[in-house]
Amino acid sequence: MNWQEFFNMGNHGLYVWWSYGVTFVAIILLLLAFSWYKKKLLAKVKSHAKDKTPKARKVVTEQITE
Amino acid sequence: MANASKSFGRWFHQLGSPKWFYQKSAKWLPWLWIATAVLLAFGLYYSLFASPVDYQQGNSVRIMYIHVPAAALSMVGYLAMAICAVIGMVWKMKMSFMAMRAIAPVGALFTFICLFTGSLWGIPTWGTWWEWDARMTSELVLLFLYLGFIALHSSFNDRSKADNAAAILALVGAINIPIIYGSVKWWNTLHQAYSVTKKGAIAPEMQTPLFIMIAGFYLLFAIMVIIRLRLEIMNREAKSKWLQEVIS
Repeated sequence: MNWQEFFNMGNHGLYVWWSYGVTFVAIILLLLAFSWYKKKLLAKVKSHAKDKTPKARKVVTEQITE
Repeated sequence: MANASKSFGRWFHQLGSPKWFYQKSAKWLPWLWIATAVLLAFGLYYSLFASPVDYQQGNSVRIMYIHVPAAALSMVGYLAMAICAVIGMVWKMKMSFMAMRAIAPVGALFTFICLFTGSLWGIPTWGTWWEWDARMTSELVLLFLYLGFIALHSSFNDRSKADNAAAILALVGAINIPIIYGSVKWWNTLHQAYSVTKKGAIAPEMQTPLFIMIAGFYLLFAIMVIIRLRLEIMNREAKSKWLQEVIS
């Protein structure tokens, strides 16, 4: 069996390769969407980490300064 | 016995802890990726190259090696989602609701793969890419259930309301799973009857690669759910000190 026969698959190549190809691309796209979402979440967690003052104390200091 | 139930209790308790899961799953993922890569490498070699051609369908039978695993996972995934919904509602276990939310996009992906490859397989085999028969219609309903679940969950601002409403949808929609499974038995469908594990119904040279691909797809599904679940933990525990320490 040569390569051309392998890719042609007895005239079923189009259906077989499109099936495997779209499956592969769809899986990669969802994984990419996850990694894009991860970037967003990392920024969210870091922004919360910066805000070190506990909520309760914040309220108290605000009341005192008033 | 008492020891076994005690260790199960501890395991269940740990699984309920986002912190424990987030830290442990980071160690599981590389091994899961290796196992998946090995299984899929063998599976793809056999399914595209080393397995025999079907005497009626020719090479188009090779679509089976991704269509059947995707179909299996689309249903198993939904059942897992419904089980998480029950655990979340009954025991108020927050990790369970997070897992439920994490399964939805992965389940939708596998349902899409099942429908897409099935359509392509249908063109040379049945002469049509779609027929409104019971199997195909109920699988399409499954895709809409997954997408509806995601849409419903994201339509609430209040997370606990979102979890509970989506959990009810997941639970009610679970009725569709036995319908998909039984459709080829109960109705006269264009889709063929179940044959994957039936004795003598499928040649061993096809069954073995199919099982390898099913195992690979199960692991891939698990990996993708774990990745999404870790993101869900990041989203919901963004204010937790332990997470901020792990990330920085």
